[in-house]
Amino acid sequence: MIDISIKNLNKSFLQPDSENKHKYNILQIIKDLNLNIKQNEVVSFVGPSGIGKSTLLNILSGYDKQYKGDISINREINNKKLSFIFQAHNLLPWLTSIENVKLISNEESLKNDSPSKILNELGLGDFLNSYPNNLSGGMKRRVSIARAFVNEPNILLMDEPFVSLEKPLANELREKTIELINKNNVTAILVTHDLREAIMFSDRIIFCNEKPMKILLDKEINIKKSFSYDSDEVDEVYKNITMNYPNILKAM
Amino acid sequence: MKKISYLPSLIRFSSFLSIFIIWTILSIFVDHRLFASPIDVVKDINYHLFEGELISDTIITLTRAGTSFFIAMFLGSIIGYLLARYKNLDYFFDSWVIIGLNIPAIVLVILFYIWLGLTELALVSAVVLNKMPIVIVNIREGTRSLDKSYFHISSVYQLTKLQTFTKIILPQLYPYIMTSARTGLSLIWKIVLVFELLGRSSGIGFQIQVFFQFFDISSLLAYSFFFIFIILIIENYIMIPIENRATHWRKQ
Ligand SMILES: Nc1ncnc2c1ncn2[C@@H]1O[C@H](COP(=O)(O)OP(=O)(O)OP(=O)(O)O)[C@@H](O)[C@H]1O
Ligand SMILES: [Mg+2]
Repeated sequence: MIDISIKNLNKSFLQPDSENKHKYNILQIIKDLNLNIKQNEVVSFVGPSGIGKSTLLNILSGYDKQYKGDISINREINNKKLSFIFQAHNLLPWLTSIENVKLISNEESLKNDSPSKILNELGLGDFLNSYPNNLSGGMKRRVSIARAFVNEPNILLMDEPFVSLEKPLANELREKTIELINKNNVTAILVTHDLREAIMFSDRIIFCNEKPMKILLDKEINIKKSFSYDSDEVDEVYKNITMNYPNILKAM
Repeated sequence: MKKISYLPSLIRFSSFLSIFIIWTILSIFVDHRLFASPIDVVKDINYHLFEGELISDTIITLTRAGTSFFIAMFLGSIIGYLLARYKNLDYFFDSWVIIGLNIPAIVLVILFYIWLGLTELALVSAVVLNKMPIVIVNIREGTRSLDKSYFHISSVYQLTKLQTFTKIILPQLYPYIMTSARTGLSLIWKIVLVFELLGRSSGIGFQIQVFFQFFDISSLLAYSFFFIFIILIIENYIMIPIENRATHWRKQ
């Protein structure tokens, strides 16, 4: 079954001209993009900065509605079953950890006390009533991961969720997130610059570059989604890709 | 170290004391009838409080100021928000706001006293119209600077309009609302006195006019000091605590 289907997606922005500020140029970011993502599949997008990866996630999440093309997402709209882990943690600073999670919880989650359970599971048991300003960067990420899973989503979009974290912490959160992905059987898209991270998470990695966004390689990854960042299994796939596709990695 | 932390309050206190001393010395040298001594003023406060009408005059003036304050805040906030959200509305009403900001308070009240008679309605309308433009400008500014990334949360997790307003928009507007409220309070109570003096037969402003006619300096000062005292209490025990509650998440 197809969970996310993208047909002929086109997206452009108006950008002020560098010489004449009253003139606007059309900047095409995404051109005729076609993609299907199956149920329970985790797909990573790897590519250089500024090619429209966040833009694509914004469109898929329903935030950006100004595009051409067809997008269909198998989303149980009324149950709020699509989740997003934002590039910045994007917590509301005037709400405590638990309030941030509760705000987006559906009735079922609230009834089952899921907000405090998931925060506990992510090691935030003592920080339920702390405001984001009083949490470390890592703890804020934990809250934003908790928020993403509280409603047991079936679709998950992640925009560089582990960037600028120290490596041991990043690895811990990567493993925790994969565990939650497996537990909830989610279909997910992960945007990342980190190839090893992509290998850990994904059934497929899509390498892209340029403007408008171009898919260079759509590669199946056939290892289980349960190996750690530094494991030999991930390492092997990593070497395999870097050896077989040296040009692609150069274009990153 | 401790001595240093006492120093500011010591300086403040001696500053206060110096006013008192200079005032007392001056009152000894200058003609006694037209230059009340601090003791006269204290006596008069006591007299007007317990035998005169200081309490009822204060209540009347506070009611007028309070009514105008709440109407101006309420309407000003709504209008400011709408102007920021709807560009065409803003283009249309911007010049009204600018006129409103620059029209002298005294002109407004004279117009309203002529049109509506020397009535409560005339006074309150003039105060509201005088204060509202500043509230509008503040809230419009606040609404324009709302952080868009937070709306990503409300769109991804499909928050209701009410949730979006109370949890995402309002907390960002609080600082602007509080600024308007505090500047508003200090502005309104002063112009209410002037307006009472010009066209009402009750309230602090009216009494000040009576004291003016009798050259009763010490009663005039007694009324003023008492009213300033009340305003300081409102500022310290109502406004500041509300502000602290609304922004407590910033600190800790
Ligand atoms: N609102 C906007 N208006 C105009 N141009 C925009 C807007 N948002 C993004 N862009 C442009 O679209 C391009 C793609 O941006 P996007 O944020 O999607 O890149 P990205 O692949 O996520 O990059 P990164 O890896 O740095 O996060 C950029 O060149 C950016 O300048
Ligand atoms: Mg991005």
